[in-house]
Amino acid sequence: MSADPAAGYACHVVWVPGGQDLRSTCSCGAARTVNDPAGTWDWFSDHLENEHAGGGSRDDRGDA
Amino acid sequence: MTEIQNGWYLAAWSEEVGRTLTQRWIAGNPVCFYRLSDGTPVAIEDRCPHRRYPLTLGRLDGDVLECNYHGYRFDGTGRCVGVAEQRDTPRAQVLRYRLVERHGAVWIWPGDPSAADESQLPDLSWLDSEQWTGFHGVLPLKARHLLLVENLLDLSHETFLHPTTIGNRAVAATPIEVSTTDRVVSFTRHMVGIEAPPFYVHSMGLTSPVDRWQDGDFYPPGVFILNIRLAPTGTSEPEGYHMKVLYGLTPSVEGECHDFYAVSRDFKLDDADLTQYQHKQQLAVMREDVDALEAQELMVATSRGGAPESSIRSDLAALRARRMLERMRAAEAAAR
Repeated sequence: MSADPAAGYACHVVWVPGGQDLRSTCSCGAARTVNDPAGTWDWFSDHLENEHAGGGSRDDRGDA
Repeated sequence: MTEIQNGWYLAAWSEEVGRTLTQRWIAGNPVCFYRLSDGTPVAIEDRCPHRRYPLTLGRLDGDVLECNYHGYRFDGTGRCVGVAEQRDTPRAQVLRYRLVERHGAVWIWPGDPSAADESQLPDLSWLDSEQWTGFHGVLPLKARHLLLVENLLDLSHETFLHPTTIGNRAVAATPIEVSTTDRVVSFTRHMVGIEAPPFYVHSMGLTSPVDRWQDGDFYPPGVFILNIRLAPTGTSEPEGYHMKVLYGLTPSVEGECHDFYAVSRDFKLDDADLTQYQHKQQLAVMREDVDALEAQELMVATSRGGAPESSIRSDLAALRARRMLERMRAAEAAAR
């Protein structure tokens, strides 16, 4: 896979085995679990705009 | 819809560009392609700045292109160097596009030439490497660019559209993982211990069960590379048979695309019959996609909204690609 964290950010999304959840992890450490694909990118866009610059580590479970 | 201009698109295979003036529409722009006598490929807007006559209807006089309407003459940079029998030379310049020719493919950047960044083109050295062999071509597609992007980024459609060649139930049943940066969206689908689809049984002589990997990278707006591995189940790299597929997703005019393809393999390099078989099968698969996308285009073009769009997990990469394209388009609109 070619997604390169050096480009500034990277997000990796895994379909959690045994369930219906999509687990997203940003290169800055922030993570989120949602259960629909559009919601995954809603979270990531929001994260890049509002949290990512801080580089903080969050782990929230969403309801999207 | 205005197509994205600031990005690399596959414009032609090298052998398509020669000493004959050739028109191809790229992202809404009519482009005149030809080669200078030293072999340098040239792409200029296919409109004479005098009265917009297509320059491809003109002729080459050495390296000077002469418009066939009133005799304007242009050099390889697009600069006017004279008009018919007039003594003075009018100030006129044809828009020249940035081109890059690599590994048998000609890439064009339709937008701001100063923004053209060759480092954005992925490594395609396998196209003319001695370790790989294959074939390439291009098909016309009467469907919008986004439909082709979404087709390639959600390969679960293989199960339903291509059951006699490359698809079976394992494709749609296997989850994908997706990674993305600001430049690329990538997915992996690793099918383990599955039945090999007919195309791979014939190509590789494998007996089931096999492991089949599909790892795809989309570089918006127009480059998609699929890395394929087929191997006896439970084996590890580098064991196995590998194939690489390049798709050049190049918008042409409104609602239509050039569907460029190149397929390479790292096995049976001298087997011309296999190349012929694979090319025939590739075209059959692409014909199924073209038929499906053109049917879909009609439904999308005539939709008045209707039911809300639904998506499933296998759409994950395609949904990311859609947003990346929307962002690129919005940035260009804001800059205008």
